[in-house]
Amino acid sequence: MYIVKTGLFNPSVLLVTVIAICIVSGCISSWNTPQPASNTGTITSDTGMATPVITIPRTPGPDSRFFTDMTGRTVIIPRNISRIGLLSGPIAQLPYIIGVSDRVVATTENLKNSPLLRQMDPRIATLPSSRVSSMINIEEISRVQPDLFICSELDGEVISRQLSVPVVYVASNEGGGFNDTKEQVRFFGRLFSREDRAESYCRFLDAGLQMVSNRTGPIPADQRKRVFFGFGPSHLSTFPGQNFITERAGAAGCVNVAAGNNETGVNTGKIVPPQAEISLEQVIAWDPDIIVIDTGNVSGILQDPHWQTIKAVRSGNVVLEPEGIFRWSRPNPESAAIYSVWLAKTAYPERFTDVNPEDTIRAFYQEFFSYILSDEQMDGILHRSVNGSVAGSP
Amino acid sequence: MTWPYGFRNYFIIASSALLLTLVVVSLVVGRGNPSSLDPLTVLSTVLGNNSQEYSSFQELVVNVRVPRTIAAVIVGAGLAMSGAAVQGAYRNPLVSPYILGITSGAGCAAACALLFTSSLPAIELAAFAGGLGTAMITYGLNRFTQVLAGIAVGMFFGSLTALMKFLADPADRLPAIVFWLMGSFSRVSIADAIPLCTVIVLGIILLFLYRWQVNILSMGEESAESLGVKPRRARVVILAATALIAAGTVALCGVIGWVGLVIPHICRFFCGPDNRLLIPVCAVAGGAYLLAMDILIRTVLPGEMPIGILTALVGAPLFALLLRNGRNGWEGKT
Repeated sequence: MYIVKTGLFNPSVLLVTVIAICIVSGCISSWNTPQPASNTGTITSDTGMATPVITIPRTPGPDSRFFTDMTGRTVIIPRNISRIGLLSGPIAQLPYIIGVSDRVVATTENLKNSPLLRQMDPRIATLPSSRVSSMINIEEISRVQPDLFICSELDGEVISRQLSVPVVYVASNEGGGFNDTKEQVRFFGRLFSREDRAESYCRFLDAGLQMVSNRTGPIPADQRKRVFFGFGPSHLSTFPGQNFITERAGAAGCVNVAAGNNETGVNTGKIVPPQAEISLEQVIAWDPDIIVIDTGNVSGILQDPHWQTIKAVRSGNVVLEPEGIFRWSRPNPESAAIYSVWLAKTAYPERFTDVNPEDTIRAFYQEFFSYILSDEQMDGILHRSVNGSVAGSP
Repeated sequence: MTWPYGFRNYFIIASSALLLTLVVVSLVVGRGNPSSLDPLTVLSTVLGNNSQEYSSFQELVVNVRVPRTIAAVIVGAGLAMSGAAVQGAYRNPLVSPYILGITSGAGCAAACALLFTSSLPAIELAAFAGGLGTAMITYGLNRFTQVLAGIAVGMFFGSLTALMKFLADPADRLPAIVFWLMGSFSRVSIADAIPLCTVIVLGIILLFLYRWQVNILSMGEESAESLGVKPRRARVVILAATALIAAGTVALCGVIGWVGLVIPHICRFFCGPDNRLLIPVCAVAGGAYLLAMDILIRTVLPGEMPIGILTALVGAPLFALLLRNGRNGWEGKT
């Protein structure tokens, strides 16, 4: 019954042959390749071999130096970094802050898609994307031949297993607080020997925080404005617990209602997701003085009957946060430096009559991006009119 | 005696030739080719033209394309073979290599590891151990209704994975988890291809040796016992091989669906239900299918699309077309 003549062509033999070929070729290539953990090295070709052989220098040559990255690994990097491959989203603005943006040869899709940055630096649109979402574009980034990769640990491990270009790791930006951001900027400053640029960023950030805290410091705890950050299209996605948004709100003399002190009912002792969808009931229970949204438009909430019992809605204190090169509700150098100034002015206009966030934004772009914003672009940042996709959408 | 599967030999020859061609194509094409090189020059560069100018390109071929090609062929072969084997052994055309909830278990372990560490070997080890552990749990739960037990265990670990996603940082960790679960060969390097491909090949060899027992199992337990085969032992071996393949796959390249379901059905359509022939043919066709999908991703499609999306996008309509055609190759013809 179950007898089948396999014929002259026996697939079993073929299968075994194909797999044997694959394994043998795999072994040969692995025999010729270095330990993947080595992310340093120069490539020399052994004339007798079909595949390149990579030798790892134990000491840096005349053109390279030791460098300790943010995770504590010591890497040999070129003394003169001229082609940077950038993989991580949160650090994508840093080459501008440090003044080496012209050396970037591959960057992230998010940065390339920023309408404002495309106006400021048209070259960005022509660069290959180092990754789309979470997938590393290894073939494309290898083609532009970076001499250094800067990325998060997970990406860095993938790249250093696949290419012999040095990789420096940036500590994961999950914190995103002021000090985390300053640490990243200083790290870039050391990497490119532009410590002065890094320090002037830190001074800019600190000066803004100092100015705000001088004016909001005297406000007693029970009179501080209570802010609800209602992000996402539903305006119900927020950052609960102690995080960068809570820190920024605190620096502006306000309180993040989802921060989790006793009064708010969220217990921070338990596992809290970094970003959580909460219910409208919870917002009504918090009854914030101000609601900050990052998507959609203010009138949507002001007219929504379900939100009417909330103090912020009744008093019309619902604001759409600005958006520059990237979302301000995410950790990045731009939002870290300006957010608290903007929020403080929004919450306590009477204490900041002589302060205009526009001036801070303009100064920031001029100093760190060497770019003078037009009135139209400023309007786009504050009211989201340039990034048409955001403004006015329900 | 007439042979009902007249196209059989053509199919075998065609898929074998396709596989070998694709292996060569896979090494030669890709976005990383220097724009000045045409495919023929690429081939000579790969094979030994050691000009300094192209050393980084050679490195790309050796460190990225070679392991990627090997991984795609072995994973495709393993998934298709184990799909054919479990479909035969359980006499159920709907089961796939993920029958024991292995995907969910391995995916959940990988997601958990991604929450806490960025070390690639640790994540891969977690995924592999999670997959095998889940297989044992499912098998231990109920030895007789494994398909059902697998669904229950899979559901449980699926929900656990959702919990991990909920707790992950949406800007950083969440995408890493989501894309790991969608499957991709883009992160495969020699360092992880060697151990994990060895494990998968081990499963492939086991299935290859046990292919005739699948035939006997597919006749039912009573017939199997009357023929001197202990059905439980044979099933354990087949399940163990399947578990090795599926757990190794998820650890190496994430979840790749549909290969284990569609390829056996296509092969059965052309070659009939005899597993002694079907299982090796599935290996060749599965390897060729997955490699073709990976080449498509690396050349035609923009970005590095997760391969799990494409295998299902292409596989599901193919499967539907086969069903519509009626004859599914399950009938044993003499």
